[in-house]
Amino acid sequence: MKNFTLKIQRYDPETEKVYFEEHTVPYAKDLTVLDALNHIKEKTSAEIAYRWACRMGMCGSCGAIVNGKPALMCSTFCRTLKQPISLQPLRNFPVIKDLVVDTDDAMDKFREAMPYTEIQKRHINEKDETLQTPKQLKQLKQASQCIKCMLCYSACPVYGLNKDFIGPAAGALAQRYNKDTRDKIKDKRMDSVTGKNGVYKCSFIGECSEVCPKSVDPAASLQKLKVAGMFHAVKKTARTVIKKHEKNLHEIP
Amino acid sequence: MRYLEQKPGPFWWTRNIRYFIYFVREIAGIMLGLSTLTIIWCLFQSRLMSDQNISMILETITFYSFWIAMGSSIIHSFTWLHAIPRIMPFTLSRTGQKLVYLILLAVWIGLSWLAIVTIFAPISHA
Repeated sequence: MKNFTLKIQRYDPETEKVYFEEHTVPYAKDLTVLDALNHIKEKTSAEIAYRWACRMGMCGSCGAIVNGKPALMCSTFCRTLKQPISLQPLRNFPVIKDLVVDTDDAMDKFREAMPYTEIQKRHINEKDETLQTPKQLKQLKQASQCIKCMLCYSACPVYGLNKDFIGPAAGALAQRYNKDTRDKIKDKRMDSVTGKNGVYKCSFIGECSEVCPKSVDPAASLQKLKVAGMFHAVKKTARTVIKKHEKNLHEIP
Repeated sequence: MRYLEQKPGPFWWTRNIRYFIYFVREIAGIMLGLSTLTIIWCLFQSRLMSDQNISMILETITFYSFWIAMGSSIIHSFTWLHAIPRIMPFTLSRTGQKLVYLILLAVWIGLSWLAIVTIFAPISHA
C-alpha cells in the first residue's frame, strides 16, 4: 500500500456548509489517524480544525467518529482501518467547526455526579492522611480511569435522543465516588443521579463500554447505580416512615 | 455551531452489532408480550365461539403465537441473562462473567423444564 486515503467531514460555521474532503497521506506502518491529520494540516489543508494534545490516549481531546465508530484518533492506527478512512465529528454534540465539537453539555452533567469527597479527617494518622488499602483502591480503580473523552456520550443513542439524560461518563464518575471509602455524601449523590433524567433512563445498550478507550465500563457502572438506587430509595422511604412514626409517638399525650 | 444530526434517525440500530442486539432484545420483549396477549385472547374466544371454522382459525393463530412467544422468550432471556453478570455488586473477571452466565442459563433451563413438567405432565396423563 502506497497511500492512505482520508475522507474528512468539513463544516464551515459561517456558510453552514457540510461536505466531505478527500486527502491522501503516504503510508507508514505506525501512522495514527491523528498523525495523518497533522500531516494533512501541515502539507495540504492548514484550515482543518480538530482538537488534540497528548498524542498518547491520555488527554481525551482527539475523539472523532472514525469509520463510523467513536474513537481516539491518536490511538487508532491507519493500517487497521478500512480505506478510505472516514472522519466525522463526534455524534450527539453541536459542531463548532470541522471535527471540533462543543462538549459543554456533557461536562455540565458531571456536576450532577458530585465528583468529590468530603474527606473525613482521621486523627489517628499523624498528618491527617486518609489512606486507602489496595483492596479499597481496587473497588474504584476501573471507574477512576475515565479521561472525559466523551466517546461514550457520542456512542449513546439515549443521550442522542434525550440531552437531559445524565449519560455514561457521569454515571461512571458517580460510581467511582460512591465506591470511595473516604466519601461521606453518597446519599446526596444517589439522590442526584437517580432523579428524573438519571441512571434509570439508561436502557443498557452497552456501546459506551465498547468504545471506551480506558475500559471504564460505564454501562456496568450505570446498572450498578440502578441497583444501588433501588436500595437507596427503600432506605430513604424506611427512614421517612420511621421518623414519621417516632414523631407520632412523641405527639401522644 | 449546530447539531449536524439532531437526533438518531429511525435506522440508528443498524449502525453496529450492539445497537442491533439491543434492538432485537427489546423487540423480542414486545413480541413476547403481544403473542402472550394473543394466545390469551384466542383461548377466551375459542371458549365463547361455537363455530368450528372460527375455532380452527383461532387454533392456528394460537399455534403461531405460541412459537413466536417461545422464540421471543428465548432471545429475551438469553440476552438479559448475558447482561446480568455485569451488574453484580462485585466486579467479575471476563471468565467469572462467563461462568455466572452459564450458571444462570443452567438455572433458567432447569426452571423452564420444571415448569413444563409441572404444567404439561398432568395434562398429558389426562
